[in-house]
Amino acid sequence: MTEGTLTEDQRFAAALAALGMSPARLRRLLHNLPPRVAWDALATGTHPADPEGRSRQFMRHDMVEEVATRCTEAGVNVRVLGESGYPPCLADDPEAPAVVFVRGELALLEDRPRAALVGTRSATSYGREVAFDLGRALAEAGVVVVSGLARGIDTAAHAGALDVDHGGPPAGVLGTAHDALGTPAQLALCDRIGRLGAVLSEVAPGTEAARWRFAVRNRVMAALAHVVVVVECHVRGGALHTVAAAKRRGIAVAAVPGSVRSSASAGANALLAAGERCVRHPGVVLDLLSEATTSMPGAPAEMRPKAHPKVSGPGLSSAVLDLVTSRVRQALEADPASLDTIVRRSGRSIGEVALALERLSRLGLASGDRGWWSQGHRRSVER
Amino acid sequence: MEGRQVQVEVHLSPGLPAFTVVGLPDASVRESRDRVRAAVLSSGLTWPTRRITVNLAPSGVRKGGSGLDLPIAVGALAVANVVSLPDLADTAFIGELGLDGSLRAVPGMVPMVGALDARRVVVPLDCLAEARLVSSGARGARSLAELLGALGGRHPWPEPHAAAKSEPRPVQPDLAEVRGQVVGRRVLEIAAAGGHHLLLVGPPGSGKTMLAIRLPGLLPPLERSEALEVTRIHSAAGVALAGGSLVDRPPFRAPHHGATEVSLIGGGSSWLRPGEISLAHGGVLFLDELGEFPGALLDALRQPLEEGVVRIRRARVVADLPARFLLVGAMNPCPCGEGSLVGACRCSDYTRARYERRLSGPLLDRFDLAVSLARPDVSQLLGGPAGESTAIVAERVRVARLEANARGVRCNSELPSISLDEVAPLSSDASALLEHRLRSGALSARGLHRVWRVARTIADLGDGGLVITEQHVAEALQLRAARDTLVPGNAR
Repeated sequence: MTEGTLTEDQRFAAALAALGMSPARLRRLLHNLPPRVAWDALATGTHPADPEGRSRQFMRHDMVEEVATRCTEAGVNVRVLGESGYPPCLADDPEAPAVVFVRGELALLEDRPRAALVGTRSATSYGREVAFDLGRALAEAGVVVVSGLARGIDTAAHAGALDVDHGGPPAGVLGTAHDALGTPAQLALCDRIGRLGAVLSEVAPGTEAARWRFAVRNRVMAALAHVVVVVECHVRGGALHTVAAAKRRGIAVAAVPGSVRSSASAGANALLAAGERCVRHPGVVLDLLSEATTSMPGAPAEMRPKAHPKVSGPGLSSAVLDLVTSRVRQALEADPASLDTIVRRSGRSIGEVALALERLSRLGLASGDRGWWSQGHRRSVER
Repeated sequence: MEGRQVQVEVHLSPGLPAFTVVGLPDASVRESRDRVRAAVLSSGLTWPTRRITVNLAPSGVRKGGSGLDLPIAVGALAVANVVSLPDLADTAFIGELGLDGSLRAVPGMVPMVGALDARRVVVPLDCLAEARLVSSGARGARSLAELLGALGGRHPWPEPHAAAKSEPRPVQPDLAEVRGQVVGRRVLEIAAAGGHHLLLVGPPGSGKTMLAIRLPGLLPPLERSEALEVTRIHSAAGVALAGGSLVDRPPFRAPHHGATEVSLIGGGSSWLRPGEISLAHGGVLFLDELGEFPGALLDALRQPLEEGVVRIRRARVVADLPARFLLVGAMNPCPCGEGSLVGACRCSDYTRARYERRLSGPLLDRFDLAVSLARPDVSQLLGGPAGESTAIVAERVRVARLEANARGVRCNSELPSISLDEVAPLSSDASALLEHRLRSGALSARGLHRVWRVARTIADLGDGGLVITEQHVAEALQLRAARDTLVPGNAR
């Protein structure tokens, strides 16, 4: 956790990050210069990477203290590229963040296989369940599950990973500052990940959330992972940024197939059509990880992913359904439909449909969310 | 909403000409001095040039409004011997005077006339229909001169034009115009039959408002005593009564979300005004864009929802106003409105979570029915079959309400929880289903009773058997599913 106070270098680096510039620019400013020197040079307008003094207008003399206080309050440590304590797994990346703000223990992530589970925020129950199962199975095998702490797939993947006692430590990569988290649910999840693993952000505490940060953050997730798995994503989903970043780095990409009628799976299915690996069960991800980590320098054998004990797909229920119930079941699709639609498709009364849905959901064949129904899977998972 | 009888005493004494009004008049009553004097003079009558003192008894109660113009004028004319005292025997007066001597309508005629014990009540002609609802001795006049003529027996009391009397009622929208929306129509029917509060969640254009405005048409007409009560409230609030007649159809009130607490709940600093919830008494209160109403305002609805009256306590006014209404709320699933469709929502997690927190758990708990509506599909809008008309559905509602009346309540939502076992026994399947929901934490104890009552209504609308089946319960559960994830920490 936090080591009481920050060193001078850390404080000046944090203040530089708080100026709100792009990661590439921050890297140039800190390149081969100690943070303190870079700060003073910027303040006097003599920094070689900023001859016009563009950053000076954002600088205030009390900023260094202010950012340091915010870091301490948020329980956040500062790691500077090129200095000790910076995560080695990120250090070699061409686009490594110059400064990262960390909650939790970064060392836990080293020497372990790491898989990023990414996907859409507006996930279907199918996507959430698969993400949960994958997260769980990977954590059981000792894999670090990396995700972005957003609603939908991200949250479900981490919920799965946290469902295992003594599993692989989870890692979260935030697109906002540590103290700018949105929902109470996100805060609670972040706390748990911080306790068992680590949460990183390259945004300085006290900075307001900005949309572009989320896209930029995706490259950090890709850099951190040995495999990127797209669980569910729309044709133009943000998860595809992560995929592109992974490709640039030569990192393996895999995708979970979904129904061709589900718009939430369209992006993932397109990746499969383009020849990416198909994740039919957690074993596929574990295989990809062991391929990637055999070349991992100094990785001890026991850190390789353990073989997953049981590899199985969801079995179809053999329960015998009455006529109405099977009609209603046929009316369900992968994309959620309103009760109204199901009543119309099945041609049954609302009472009959309600009872059939009740039976189907108890068998796990239907899953409902605030009155919207889709084809069900074994377990329902928190959004 | 009660009126108070005021006695106007006028005294003439020697001295310099003056005109004073005592007995706690407020500004509008003090101003009436000038109106009264001008009206008397323009009617061609003489104004006594002596010291006139008017006392409004009981003197300890504050008096406001312009309805006292007429009695003050008549009193002044009586002491000036323009009107003979025997003509005024057992007669009360209410009305505002114009400077030309004309009589103008004042709001609140029904409760005011209702509070008078005089045999004959004279009001402005425009208010005569309203006054006649509560007093057979009501008379009307257009001006002070006309009034004096009728009082002296020189010509008969004027009657309002027949045309004004039979003003056509506004046409009620019919349920047959709603295409598709099987579920929407169904919850409307259940809400009307059982008096269950209803929450409609859906994107813009999904027909929430269209459905809500058709709800009053499904409710049975008000009974005579209820109608009088509602009319009294509407009259006191100065709401125009349709054709000046009794409000016998359930009212429909739809305040905008910018409403203040006083306008919604009732109150006011010195003069009490009934709020929207009292105006909706006996009918429907529709809150569109429920999520945009300030939280404190919505929570102020909780007590009236529970008790059917709103207890207003102010330094000067204490009143219990009736406020038994059917609450219909409508809201979008999220601020951008598209949250129910996969992938279409543009809201951030934070704004969504904040939007869902707007409605407090206790308020959400009071909605027995909560459904998600989707935009109807194109085929239904154009070629779909027309649905049942209001008249057909209203008949089923009437029959279902009779069943509830036989249980000693107006509608099933008023059934006491202890009697549910007796009047709505559950089949073993039905009770197993409820038990399953209770154990999984998806249903609270309060929720249980609400589902149970709704299931009773569903059974009443169907075959009407005594026993509640699994299907009744399943439908009741399904028709409140939209509220589940709106309750904080209740994500299933």
